[in-house]
Amino acid sequence: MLKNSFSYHIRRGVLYLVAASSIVSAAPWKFGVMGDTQWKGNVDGENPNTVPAGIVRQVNQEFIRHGVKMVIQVGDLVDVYSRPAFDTRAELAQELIDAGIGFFPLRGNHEPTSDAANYVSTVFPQACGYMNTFDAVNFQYPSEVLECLSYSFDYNNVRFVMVDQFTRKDNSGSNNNDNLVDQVAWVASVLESRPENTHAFVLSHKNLVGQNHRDVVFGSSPASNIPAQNGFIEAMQRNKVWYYLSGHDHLHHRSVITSPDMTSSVKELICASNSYKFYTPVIPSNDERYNAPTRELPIAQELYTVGYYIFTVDGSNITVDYYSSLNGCGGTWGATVNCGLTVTPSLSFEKRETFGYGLDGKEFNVMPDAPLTVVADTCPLDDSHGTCACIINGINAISSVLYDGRKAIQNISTGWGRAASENGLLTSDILHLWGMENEIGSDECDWYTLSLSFKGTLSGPLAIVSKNHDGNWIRSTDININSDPGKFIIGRFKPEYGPGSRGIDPESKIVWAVINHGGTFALAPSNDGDQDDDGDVDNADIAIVASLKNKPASIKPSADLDNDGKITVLDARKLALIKNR
Amino acid sequence: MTVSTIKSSLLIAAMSAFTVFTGKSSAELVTIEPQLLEVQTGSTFSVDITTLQLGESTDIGAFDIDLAYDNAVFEFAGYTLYDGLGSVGTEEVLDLSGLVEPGKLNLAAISLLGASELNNQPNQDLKLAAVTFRAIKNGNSELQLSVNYLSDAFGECLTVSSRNGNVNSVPEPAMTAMFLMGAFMLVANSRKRNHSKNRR
Repeated sequence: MLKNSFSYHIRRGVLYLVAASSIVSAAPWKFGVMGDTQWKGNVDGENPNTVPAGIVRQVNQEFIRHGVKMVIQVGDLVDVYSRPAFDTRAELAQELIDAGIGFFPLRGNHEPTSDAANYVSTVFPQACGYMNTFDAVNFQYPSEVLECLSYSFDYNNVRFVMVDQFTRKDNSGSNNNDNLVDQVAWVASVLESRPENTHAFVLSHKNLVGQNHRDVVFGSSPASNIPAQNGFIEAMQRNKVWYYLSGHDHLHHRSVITSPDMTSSVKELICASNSYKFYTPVIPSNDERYNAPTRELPIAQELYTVGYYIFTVDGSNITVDYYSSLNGCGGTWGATVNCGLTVTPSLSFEKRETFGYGLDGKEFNVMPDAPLTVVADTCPLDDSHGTCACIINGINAISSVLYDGRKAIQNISTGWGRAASENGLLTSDILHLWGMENEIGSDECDWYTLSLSFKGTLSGPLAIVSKNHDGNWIRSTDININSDPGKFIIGRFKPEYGPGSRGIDPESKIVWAVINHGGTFALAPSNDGDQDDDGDVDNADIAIVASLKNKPASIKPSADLDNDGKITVLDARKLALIKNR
Repeated sequence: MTVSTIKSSLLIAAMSAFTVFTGKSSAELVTIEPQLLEVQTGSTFSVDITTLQLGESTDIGAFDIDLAYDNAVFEFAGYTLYDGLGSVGTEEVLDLSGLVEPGKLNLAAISLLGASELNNQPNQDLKLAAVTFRAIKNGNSELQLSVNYLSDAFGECLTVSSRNGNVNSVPEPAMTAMFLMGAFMLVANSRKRNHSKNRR
């Protein structure tokens, strides 16, 4: 049991001491996020005091396996609050702490009382910045009655802003619906005051717009406390907060939430259940029922699973992997089933989707059936190649349909990395392209053509490459899903080129590829165009193509470099443009 | 090498045949120069294959052109590539040219230079090749161009018109003089006989 033994003044002293620490940027690191942990009864003897210890232990092991530095839980730590229940939840968190992993909780509506508010500092002193904080620093809170309840802290290059909306230490704020209103200014100030080029996440228990629950973080419905909502979402957008994370709904759901005044937006991530129960979205959706005009654009959703999130912080880029397991109610992937668990399920987690963003990147919301060609971004990093990335062909043709019948959009985001980090393997900046996938559980997306620019004179062929699961850079077209590699073409892309086609246009200085996956992309030397398989493109290769001039492409398809069905001097000339010099 | 006179441009226009090949928007005219030749039978002569830029300035990266002629009148004697695509004889140009069949020469070359290295002079005609023939018989033959492909610097096919040439092979001057002298003597002799008859 972790008990706080510091006096208030000493604690304040610690607070000031840690506040003097500076934020450092660092090598990639990870943190985990988990949802509500509630349990009813204890039939199997594994889940005492309304805490799903059987599930928490399995999720803990996942966090340890992933090597996270810290874990955040977005509230509802127990099903029925009591001090023994909090003790049980804290003991389960000790498993992480013993592994060197910080654990930072929020309260939920299942521990809303002032007694719980006062007991947090005893069982979770890390929420106050006292101990077990590991490398977390700069703990701040809006007021003494919210100390250890609403708090912000920094870990490396990220600021976490945890917002509590329940009854406060002095028993004030018993109307949970309004408790965020007087914290909006504090949230804005801690977001604004963080160092430049760092990330920030805002977390609370309840949602901005719930899928099952009508009650939200600002009140009894998404239409409550509209001025405060406007200010809250505006502060997040202005301060480059990409994700607002919450729980409460016991389902995995991502969406773009626009402020009631329609001037700003943020991505909401509702965390999957770690509890005995799983909620079903209401129909019509709460957005359609309470918001006029509607202000939610759904991105992805998964029901009736137990899940958790791994955030990888790599400089200016954040990648989020959502892992989940069937909930033990007897369903299958794609046909999950709801039930109320009474015994601990044996969980088998798998990565269900990946999303993310870059502080240096852009965001594009592509509606169903709309063109993907709005996606265009140029690397802004100093000392970079200035690589320009564009989707030059493709439509958001396939969209997942949510339980309530709404169609999901593609929320596509870009981020950038430096080629220098890859030991000279790459000849462009590194593009991260998130949000292309059609469905949860698959990496497959609509076919699209990605182009990356290069500068200077070509010396040898280039290809768009991606990092595969083993961490190796390989041609992006070689990891297309359910598709054979297509043809290599020299010249500008034409819409009639088939899946898997790839090419170089020396005139416009772009390399393009027709692909059906997202991920990480860059340019690298390739062996495309090498007719004699000797590892380069030289005059011998050009001579091979020239020797076949005016013959049909079927004789040697790889020599038909402009894909017009004939081998001609045009093909030989095109090959000359990309030869190794 | 004997080169005869160039006829007037009106005559050239009247005798030229145009063929159009579609490709990239930039238009080129591939032509034989000179357009009309009169050569003496037994002599050798050369013509140039030249691109005349009709539109925006375009570098030429490769060409593939057939040149047909009457092999009963002319005999192919050789060709020379100009250096517009790179220095001939170095590794800057790949030459694929040669006789395809009697009466048909294929001129084909590919620049191995980068696009920025071509640097043809803007808005100037570009000579691609010179072709040398020997006139082996009196007569007339069209030099018929068939442009298979004309590439810009980036391997894109250019829109091309072609203009044929025409060569007339005529007897040597000495033979002509002897012929004229013979004819004059025949005429003179005939007149002398007619005059004698009238006096009788």
